[in-house]
Amino acid sequence: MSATDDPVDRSRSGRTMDLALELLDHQIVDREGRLAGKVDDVELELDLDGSAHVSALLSGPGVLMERMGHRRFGRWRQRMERVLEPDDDWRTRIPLRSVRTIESRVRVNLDAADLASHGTERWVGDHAVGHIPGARHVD
Amino acid sequence: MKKVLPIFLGILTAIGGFVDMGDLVANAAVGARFGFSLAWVVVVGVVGIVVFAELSGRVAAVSGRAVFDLVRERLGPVAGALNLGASFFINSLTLVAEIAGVAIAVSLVASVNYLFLIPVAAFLVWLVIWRMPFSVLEQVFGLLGLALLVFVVAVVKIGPDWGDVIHQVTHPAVPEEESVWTYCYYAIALFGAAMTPYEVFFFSSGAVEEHWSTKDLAVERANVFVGFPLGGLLSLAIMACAALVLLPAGAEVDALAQVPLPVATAIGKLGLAVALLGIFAATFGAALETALSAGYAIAQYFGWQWGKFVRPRDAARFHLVVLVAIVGAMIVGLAGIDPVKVTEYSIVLSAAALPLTYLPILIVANDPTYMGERTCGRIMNAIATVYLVLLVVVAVATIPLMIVTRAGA
Repeated sequence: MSATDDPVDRSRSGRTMDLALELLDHQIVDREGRLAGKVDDVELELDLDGSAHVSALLSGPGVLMERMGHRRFGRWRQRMERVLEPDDDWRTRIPLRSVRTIESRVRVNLDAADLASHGTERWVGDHAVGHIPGARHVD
Repeated sequence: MKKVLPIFLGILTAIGGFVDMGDLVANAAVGARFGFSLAWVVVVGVVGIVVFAELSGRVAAVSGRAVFDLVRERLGPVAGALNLGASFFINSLTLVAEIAGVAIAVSLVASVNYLFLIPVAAFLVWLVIWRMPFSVLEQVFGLLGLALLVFVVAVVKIGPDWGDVIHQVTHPAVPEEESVWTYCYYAIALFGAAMTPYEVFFFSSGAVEEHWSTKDLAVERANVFVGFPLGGLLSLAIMACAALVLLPAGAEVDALAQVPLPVATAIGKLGLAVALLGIFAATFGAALETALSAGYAIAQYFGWQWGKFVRPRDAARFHLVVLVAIVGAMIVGLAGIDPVKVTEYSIVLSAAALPLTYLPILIVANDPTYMGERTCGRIMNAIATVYLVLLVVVAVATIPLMIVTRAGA
């Protein structure tokens, strides 16, 4: 990892991994242990010597659509998310410094509510499921 | 209750796979048409589902990951979406049949047209999922489903010539009046029923709901090795009852009401009542299993919060999917579609999608990133690989057979 100002565990930085197998499509877990979407894509940075490294994880329905080849729909979807929630600070981009561990799950130092994947969760909770009696009970 | 080995997850899962609405009728129909000549398929199916349920349960216990998580991770978003679409479609068809099955089971006692009971059945299924804790749900419906053991009692009471039965099972022959293709078609239907994908969705997700960990691997194994063979036994008992009572009488089975008739002749009214209770519990349990699986599969594909172990408000999208699946199934059921036909198609179609579900399980079970030192052993790997080849053959043969035999007519 090139960004020396990132407080990344140095023992982990520079780790070589098979992105497709070990990172893409893996489950993201937030700091409270909540399921917070998938690693729908990654952002790569190229060094001067031509080597690539992961600079951020990308997550959210628009990102997924874009990666699956529906570019226009994906971008439109991401734009709509920004229009509908102008003051939003939800992220589709998770910088590597917010990533705590990468195992079969990816643990991040963020709240699920801050991530783009949570947008529809909040909407469904507020407008539909939350109104049904018993929505707040625990088994 | 603490002393009792908690094996109801395995039992409920297996009941949903082996003796749900479609299988109750299919088993009896096969017994009435083919006698014992297709019993071996159930045994082959039991071994297959035991192997893959064990792998999926072990992955869930060790890594906390349920099957559709693995499907997305190993197949990627596009092939994963293809599997999701196919599985969700099959699952929804099955849910239609189960809800209709619950309504029919009640209508046999209540003398009301079953269509009136469909909305009630759908509401109750949703209510149980919404309010009943997962562990209670699996115990109640797993336990009530055991009432189907009355079919085993009936077989014993009828007291067939066991030597003859064993000979028929071990020397299967296509009955004279049936074609080889129809025989193969029903073989695939039985095999597909044993290995329906929602069983592993439900079982692995249930393992996560129950917070199984590496410490619970013995429990996990007990669930698999008791639950699924028990499901297979029930399935065989229903087939045997039909082969012993309905086949000699020349009766064919095409409706749920005919399934418990052999029990009535063998044991009488009380037996019939117990059989009806078992049928009600099995179809209701299968409805819960398929409705929850719809939510599990979609939520796990997208990485949403899922499960009954959090407040419904915190897994809002998961509960919305379950609710929509139930309402959709209710509407289709109300249209009066024959639930038996629906499940027959869904079982056979599911055979075509099976490799896409079982391959990722096998790959991950061998991946130390997930499994640490508990990766899949050599024998299990060998059996699982043989079954994957078998699944591919079945998947390829399914649709042509369906066309050639006009769906087993």
